[in-house]
Amino acid sequence: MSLDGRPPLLWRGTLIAAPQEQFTVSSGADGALVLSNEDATVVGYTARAGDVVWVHALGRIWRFERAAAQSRTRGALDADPSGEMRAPMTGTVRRVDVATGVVVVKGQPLLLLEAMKMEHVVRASTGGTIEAVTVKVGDTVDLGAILVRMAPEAS
Amino acid sequence: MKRQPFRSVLVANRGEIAVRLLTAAREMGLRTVAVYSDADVGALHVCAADRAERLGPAPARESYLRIDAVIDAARRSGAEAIHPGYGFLSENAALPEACEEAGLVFIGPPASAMRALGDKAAARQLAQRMGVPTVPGYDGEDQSDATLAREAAAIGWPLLVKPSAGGGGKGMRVVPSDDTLQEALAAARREALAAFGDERLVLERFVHPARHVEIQVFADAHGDVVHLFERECSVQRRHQKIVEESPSPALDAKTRDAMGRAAVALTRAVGYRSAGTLEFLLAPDGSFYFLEMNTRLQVEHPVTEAITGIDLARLQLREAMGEALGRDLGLTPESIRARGHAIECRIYAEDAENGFLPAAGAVLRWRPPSGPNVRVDSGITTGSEVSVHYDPILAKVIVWDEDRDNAIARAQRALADTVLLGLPSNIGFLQAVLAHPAFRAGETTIDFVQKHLAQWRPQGEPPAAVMALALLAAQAAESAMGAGNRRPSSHGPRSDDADAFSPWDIARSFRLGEGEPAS
Repeated sequence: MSLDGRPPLLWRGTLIAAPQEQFTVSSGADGALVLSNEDATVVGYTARAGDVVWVHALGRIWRFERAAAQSRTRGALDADPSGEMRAPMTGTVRRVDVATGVVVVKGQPLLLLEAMKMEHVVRASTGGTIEAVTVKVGDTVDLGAILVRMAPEAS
Repeated sequence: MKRQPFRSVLVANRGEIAVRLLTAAREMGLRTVAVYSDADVGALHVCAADRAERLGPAPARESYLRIDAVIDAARRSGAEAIHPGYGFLSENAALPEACEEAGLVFIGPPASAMRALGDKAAARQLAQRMGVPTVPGYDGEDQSDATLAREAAAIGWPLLVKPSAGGGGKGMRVVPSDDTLQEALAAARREALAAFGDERLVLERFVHPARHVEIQVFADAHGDVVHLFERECSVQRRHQKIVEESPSPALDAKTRDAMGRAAVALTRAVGYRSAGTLEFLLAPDGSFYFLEMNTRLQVEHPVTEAITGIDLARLQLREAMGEALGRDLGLTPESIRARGHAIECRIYAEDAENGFLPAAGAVLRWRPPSGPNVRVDSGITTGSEVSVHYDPILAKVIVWDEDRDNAIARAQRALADTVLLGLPSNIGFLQAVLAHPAFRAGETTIDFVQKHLAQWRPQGEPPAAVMALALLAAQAAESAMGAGNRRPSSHGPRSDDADAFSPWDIARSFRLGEGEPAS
């Protein structure tokens, strides 16, 4: 069977090319997949959670993402040109430092998230004007949820 | 001291430590009671007990931190003793007091000793009176911003700010200069209040580069105190220990002896009972400073168990029954010997590839390592839900071997065999620590991670076989979803040994990136 035409996978943000090697696949003990060819035998365990594909093989854990999912998870931390600040982790909003109309500078604290007793300050990825704060203190937010919308200042 | 043998014990905790303590109690033939919040219905620790009692809603303040709910749970279940584990109520002197009032045995130190030693400021003052060196700092009752700013300037920069009632690095931070002091004080107070219900802070000179070396002590109600050598816990990330070992690669026999004597003296001075740990900073010149005492069993206690062969949890239970260390348990300073080298690696639900942010989610696959002298203390299993409400520690992998090099090799093998799928963890980062030349050389100072692995990212492209596995996993999930639409002829024969319940329905052989092979 072919794996062409499937949603492409990313490893650390880079598209992975389908390997040109041929493997024989069989199921191993305890749910393992055993891939073998003339060069090697590789035992792996796999799982998929939403858009994330997990593999344990060759002594380490590998995380792949489906291409469409990348902007949601990775964009959370990076400067987002659309001015949307997203939650970098699942957690509870402990404090909101800004309100609609406030002008902020790059790096300014916008709000405080807490999870597992650790605090994380969400800072402005760029300077601009706050257009909307979509969460309030006490809200539980999921990874990737929009927290604040900003109109970035012209650069 | 009269004997007070109890036949049942309630463990007022969750996760790996609850499992470990319930297991120790079961091995002694005791009836075991677990407690749980609404987030932990059906959690692994609940399944490890004979009976389980609900405490309340998911937030710790409404469940695991509620003394009244814990005492009620003990009453309902007929438990005669309570073990607090670590974290939560373990260093709250109100719990032993409530136990006494309710006629329950508290497994741990008396409230008076907890108060004298558990509070960082009080412990420092006691150590100073006894001639045990402490790090210059401020631990006064006046907690106003102005006073703290003045004291900070007097101590000098960089400075360490930490919760007076704290432990485990929660709320601790290094302040490089007075520019950021006010922001650091505010954040430390909030975290201290959230974690410990007490916002008092301690300021301290930041000794650098230092090692974190701690002494395990054990005391009984008859006045016997012993120490069980040291653990070095210098490899930390943001003040959270991640790798611990014993013996310390840096401690000579003379310093070990001096540290041990100071630890025993402090423990004896407050009428301590049960297991405790005294933390020291070891400076590059070999001088050491007392930091604080943790009046509980520590996360890293298995390291000491591995080198001494002593089960500290069982020892706590037997001591709480009134047994004497020397007379009943045969433990004297002469009889306690250390052998070989032990290393513990803590597995956290943290996204090490993404700023170490806490990661919640479902454990889709957990397959712990095994083998000679490999121990795994775990609070999860395949199917567990890791919630945002509690500590991110999932499991500990502890290995023992004759010497440090072999112990490192064994730890590497064990981590390589650890399958944890479904949520991000720090396993890859732990592997990077163990593989680092500075770690292997024993150059483990508290700034190890900052110095050597601050920019860590997973290295190396996935080999073809790994990519094939990933593509197969993505493919299988889709096939499973669209199973009704498949044409049977488009698939090769199932392999004879395929798991009947497997989502996999795949050809025995395929060529990635090419067309359909002949079947």
